[in-house]
Amino acid sequence: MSTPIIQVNELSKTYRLGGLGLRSFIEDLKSSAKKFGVPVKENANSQRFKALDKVSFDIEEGEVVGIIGRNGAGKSTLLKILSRITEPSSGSARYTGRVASLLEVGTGFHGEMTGRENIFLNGSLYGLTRKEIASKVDSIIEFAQINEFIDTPVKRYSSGMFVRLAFAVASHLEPEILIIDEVLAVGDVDFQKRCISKMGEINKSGKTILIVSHNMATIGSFCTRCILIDKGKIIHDGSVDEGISKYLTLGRSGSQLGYWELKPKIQLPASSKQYSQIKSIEMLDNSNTRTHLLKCGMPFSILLELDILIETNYLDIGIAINRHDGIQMSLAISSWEGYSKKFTKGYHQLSVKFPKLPFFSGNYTLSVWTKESTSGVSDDSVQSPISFEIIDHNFNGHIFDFSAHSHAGSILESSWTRI
Amino acid sequence: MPDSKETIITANRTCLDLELNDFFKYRDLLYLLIRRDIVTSYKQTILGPLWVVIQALMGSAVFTIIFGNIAGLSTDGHPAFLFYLCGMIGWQYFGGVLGIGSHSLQSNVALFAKVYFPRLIPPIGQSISSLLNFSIQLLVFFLALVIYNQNSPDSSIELSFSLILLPALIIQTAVLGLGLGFIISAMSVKYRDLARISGLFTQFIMYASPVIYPVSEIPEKYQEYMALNPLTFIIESYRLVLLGNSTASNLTFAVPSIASTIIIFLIGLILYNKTQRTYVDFV
Repeated sequence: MSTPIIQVNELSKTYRLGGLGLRSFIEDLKSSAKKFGVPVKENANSQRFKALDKVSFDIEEGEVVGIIGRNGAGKSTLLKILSRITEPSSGSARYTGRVASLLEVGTGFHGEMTGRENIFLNGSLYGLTRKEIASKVDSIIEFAQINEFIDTPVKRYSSGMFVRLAFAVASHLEPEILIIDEVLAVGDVDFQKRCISKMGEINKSGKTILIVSHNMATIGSFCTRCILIDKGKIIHDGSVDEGISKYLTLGRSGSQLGYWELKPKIQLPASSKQYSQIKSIEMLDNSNTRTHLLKCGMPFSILLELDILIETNYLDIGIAINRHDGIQMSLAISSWEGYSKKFTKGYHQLSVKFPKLPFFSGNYTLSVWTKESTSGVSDDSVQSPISFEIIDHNFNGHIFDFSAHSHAGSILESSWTRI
Repeated sequence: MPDSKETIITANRTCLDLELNDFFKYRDLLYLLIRRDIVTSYKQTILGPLWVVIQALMGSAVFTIIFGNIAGLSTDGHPAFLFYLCGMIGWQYFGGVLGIGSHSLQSNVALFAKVYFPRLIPPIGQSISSLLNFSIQLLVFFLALVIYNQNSPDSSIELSFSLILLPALIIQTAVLGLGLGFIISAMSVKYRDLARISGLFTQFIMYASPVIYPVSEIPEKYQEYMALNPLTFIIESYRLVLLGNSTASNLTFAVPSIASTIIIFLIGLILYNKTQRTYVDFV
């Protein structure tokens, strides 16, 4: 076997927490003094944070590797180091060939310059020569579908045109290694599809691709390998399906799937004007069993525990379901159902029933909040405490092909008669 | 063409690793950035490059009135307006490049945080593209010279053979400005205190350099201290090159000036390069 195209060896990155000011300056002086052999006492409680902790892996040529993990897990830090934007604190990495890292589309575009001029500028920013760009410029313009605007300054472009042009340049860089950070989350659905098929094309030509994404559908359909990072360490490296399911259950032990509770017990300051506190959220399937797997078209329910801290005459409770890519799919709000009752001080338990789950299979999260007034400010809110998966596409006994409808958000219930 | 070059990323590289081979690889970027600066520099202005002309003329006029007529400073026997214009052209280019260098890490952070390319390219490119303004001002100078010669044929100023030294002089101006700018930029990434006083600092350098007065105006025993300032030689040399003679454009001034320019530039280069490796973590 040939040597891997990317080798990462015990890569670590440490950040210092806290602001920069006189205190950190004195610490800097101390550590410089230490380098020169001057014995100084270092402040023991200077806080350091390991964004990456001795990460090692090899990537073979032609692999498509998805890097996943929660926010702050260290994914972006890893990409930044591999893209040579910042240096590791220790460890090393080596790779062969040219790297193009798309941490953002349209980096370095200049509004006053035309589309064509920006193609050249942007391409050269990624290390192409003018000659190389000239040979690709027609194909880039064609891909971006902006022929008639190509000699117009890009500041007159619509945001869609801008993104299309930027991605068109990016996808024509033809590096040996392509690093992508969430850029697929731009553009319209049709354009996203073309981006994905273009990336497939790039990969077919034997290029190596690294993708960081929160979109499990992209990772699942596109990657051949998955690296899951949590708290700066690799906790899974290998099968994509296994990686995704580990990611979804991250931070929850088996019995806690489909359940969330407030912890640690936060003592609210006496002065705070908070009326309610959400204590726990539980997801139940149609047989009243706790679950994180729901079936399309079936009933389910949510059990809420609330602590009312100040008695109130009006409390509105909302439940939102978000798709894996963060798009809010649906809302259930108690006042819409005529339920915004008086709550006495103390513990309350609520059951919310949903007769039919109208979403396609995939990964979703559920959020809950309370509002004490009709104003916009929430009283308490818990963002995405519960992740769940919808499996099976059996709606009204009809099993359909999910892939053909994946762009639709939900199933609109309807009844059909001939008249 | 598959590129099989190997790249190694490690912690704590030596500060002498300046990534110069990359610089050569990205030369087309340098060219395109210079082109971009030139193409876009006068967009959405009505008078366009005329502003550069106005700036130079107004500045010299103000200097002529205040320092020449009111304060009565000597101009080394040169016509006052041309003397100040000449000093201004050299100084403004230096000041411009100093500003470019000292802001290069801070003003390019959006770009530097997203894509790797040699970090020296934007400031060097900008220093080159600001030669456009320099050239326009130089043109104004030559026009003023022609007008002056026509009006006073007795004391007309002939351009001398030393004009061929101008490119070398420009390079030294840019190198010194960038070197000093890099030092300021590198040192003000983490703690911005230095950036706060850089305007004041620039003004201080201007008055410490013979921009509005000739070195000959300084008492002889202090002139050797003026030699410690590398700009003394540079500004005086603009007068040698453009006006034909100057008091301080000789070896006594040249050697310390050129030597310190090189040292300042190397220090700046090393500090800048060391800082750019991780500075996105702090900004």
